[in-house]
Amino acid sequence: MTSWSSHLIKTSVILAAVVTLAISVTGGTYALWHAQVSLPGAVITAGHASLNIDGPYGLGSEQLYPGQTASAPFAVTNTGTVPLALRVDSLTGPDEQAPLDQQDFTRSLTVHIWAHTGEGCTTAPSELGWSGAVGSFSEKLVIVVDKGMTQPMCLAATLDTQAPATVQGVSLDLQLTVGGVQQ
Amino acid sequence: MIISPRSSSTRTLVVISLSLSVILLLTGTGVATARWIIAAITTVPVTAGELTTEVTGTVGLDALDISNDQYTTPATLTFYNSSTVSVHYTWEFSFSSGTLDPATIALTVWEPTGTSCPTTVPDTGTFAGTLAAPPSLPATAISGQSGMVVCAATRFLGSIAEVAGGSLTTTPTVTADLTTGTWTATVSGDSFTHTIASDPLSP
Repeated sequence: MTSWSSHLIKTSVILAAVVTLAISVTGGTYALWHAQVSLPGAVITAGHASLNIDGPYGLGSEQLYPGQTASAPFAVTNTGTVPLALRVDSLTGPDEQAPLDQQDFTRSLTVHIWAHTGEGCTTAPSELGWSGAVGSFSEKLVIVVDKGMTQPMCLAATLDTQAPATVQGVSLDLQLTVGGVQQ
Repeated sequence: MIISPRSSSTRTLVVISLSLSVILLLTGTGVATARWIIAAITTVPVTAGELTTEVTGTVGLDALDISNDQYTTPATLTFYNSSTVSVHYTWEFSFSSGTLDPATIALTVWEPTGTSCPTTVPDTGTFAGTLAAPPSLPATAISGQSGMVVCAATRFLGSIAEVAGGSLTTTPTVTADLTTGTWTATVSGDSFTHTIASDPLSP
């Protein structure tokens, strides 16, 4: 055994003896007061994350020609109890079984999503927004919506200048999934 | 206290071990790394436009006993762009019956100063061609939901005597297109017929 270890053991023994002796000499009894009370009706509720999308409205009534952009407002409301950062989870169109003209139309579209700044949705899409082709996934938006708050948004669709003539008069529905990540 | 080199290295070992233990403990718990993720779905309807156009008045080019010394009375043609975007117009002709050579029938067009055509062909501002090689239409871009009026007159270029009694029925086809891309709209106008008077001396 080393001298250091030996010294450590000695010190520990002395300290233990001192503590024991101090407790012993104080005397008296050691009865403890004890009381108990129940809190009536105490309920703990977990928070939750929830989003609601309202719109976009009116986009389908605007006809897109090559090189043109149609836009419409929509709103995202954080109906949960935690702040949420928005992102575009997915943007999908008709599947491979759909008619070719619908698939051509889908491939010719670029979609823009950005926060409504009060300038209206006909202005150029914000650089802070999201732009992508149909089929894009999981792109962040630089937007955080606090609990209980509604974020006005804009969505625009641009038809490529070289969109084939076969897409003339075609209508279809895209499915936009907006995700919210707890902050 | 005198600390030997060995006891110093032992303490260093203890400190490192404790630090590693704390780091491993915190890492292993995964505390505060879970986040709620939620999603909402909405439908985005989109509609592509469609070029559509109309042409009227071509039947006014009907000409009985067309001559080679003067134009027919100008006809008023209207090209209407029923789309919501600007278009340019071109046209061509097809021939369904008759023996006259389309290259022998001159066709002159121009934009009138008003909404109706004059009774004679002006000296300037016209585009000339034949039914075989039609003149260009005015290059003006026609806005959506609006029309363009064009005056047109014809004249025979050959020898009347050689084709006396001949005729030619023509159908115009008008195409509207955008300045970019491949979109077009095509529509046929009413057919019109040119006839050459019969030779009064022929049996």
